[in-house]
Amino acid sequence: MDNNEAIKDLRDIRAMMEKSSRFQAISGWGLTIIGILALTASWIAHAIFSETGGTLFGDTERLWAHKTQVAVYGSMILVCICGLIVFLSSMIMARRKGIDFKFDNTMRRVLINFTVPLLAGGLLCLALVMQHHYGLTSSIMLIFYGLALINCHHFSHPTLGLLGYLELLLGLIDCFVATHALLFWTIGFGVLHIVAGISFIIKERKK
Amino acid sequence: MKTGGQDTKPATISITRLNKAFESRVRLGVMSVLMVNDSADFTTLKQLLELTDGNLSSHTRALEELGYISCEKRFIGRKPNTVFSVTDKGREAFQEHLSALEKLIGDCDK
Repeated sequence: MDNNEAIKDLRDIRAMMEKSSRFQAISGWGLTIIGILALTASWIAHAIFSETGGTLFGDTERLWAHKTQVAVYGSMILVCICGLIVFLSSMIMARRKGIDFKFDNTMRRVLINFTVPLLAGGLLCLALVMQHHYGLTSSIMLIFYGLALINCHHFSHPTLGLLGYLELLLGLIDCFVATHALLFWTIGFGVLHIVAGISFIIKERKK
Repeated sequence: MKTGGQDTKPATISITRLNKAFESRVRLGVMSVLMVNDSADFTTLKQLLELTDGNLSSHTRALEELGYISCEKRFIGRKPNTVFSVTDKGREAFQEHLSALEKLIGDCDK
């Protein structure tokens, strides 16, 4: 065996290890659509919050709290819709790549490692909102979503890890900034998803 | 990638610990999959390595006889299902083979 053969062997080994243990069917289009949805959602949220009708009733604080609750519940529904988009776009992607889309070891690991931190964060958000603590909602969403991505990227695409670290960083900065929660949310869930989605699309084209 | 230096093979090549069992691409593939997954069943391996039943089973049998992988036969409903996993011995042998491959590249680059 010579140098070239050894290199080829090592490459094959690496490729087979990745193919068998990583969930490869990440769709750039799916991520981009999620980003656009998030942008639309935050635009709607911005419209709801900047509407000043509440002052007429002289009970701004309660109205504001009510609006925040609506926003948080709305974003939870949005998360479910996004989950569905990820699932469907991955399925299409897998079919196009000729990968078997089935519930195997790899998919199970991705799902568990992603869902557990995300669910914990979601419940924490829900609890805070129910106890009328609204200030940290957006940063908690970003932090736990980031952790979920970091947790599952070993079983999927490495870019998801990078996305996770960026979300985490953004969430942590958001913790210390009392205002602009919606802006952080928009960057984290809108802009970052679109950027990640486009980078996936470009990578896919290059192949 | 450097390709030179092959005609003057250094003596170290003869003492590399390349494992003959892993010369076959199929066996190399089977071991690669099992190193990073706790276990894999026959169908999964077959699809991943793009093989036919007969081809794969002859190689898994060889690896089993060497004690590198263990196999467990079970039934899912009425369908027989064979699940493979790597043994400690197999893990060690494969790691040694990997180090040997790396060493080979390292030596040739000098």
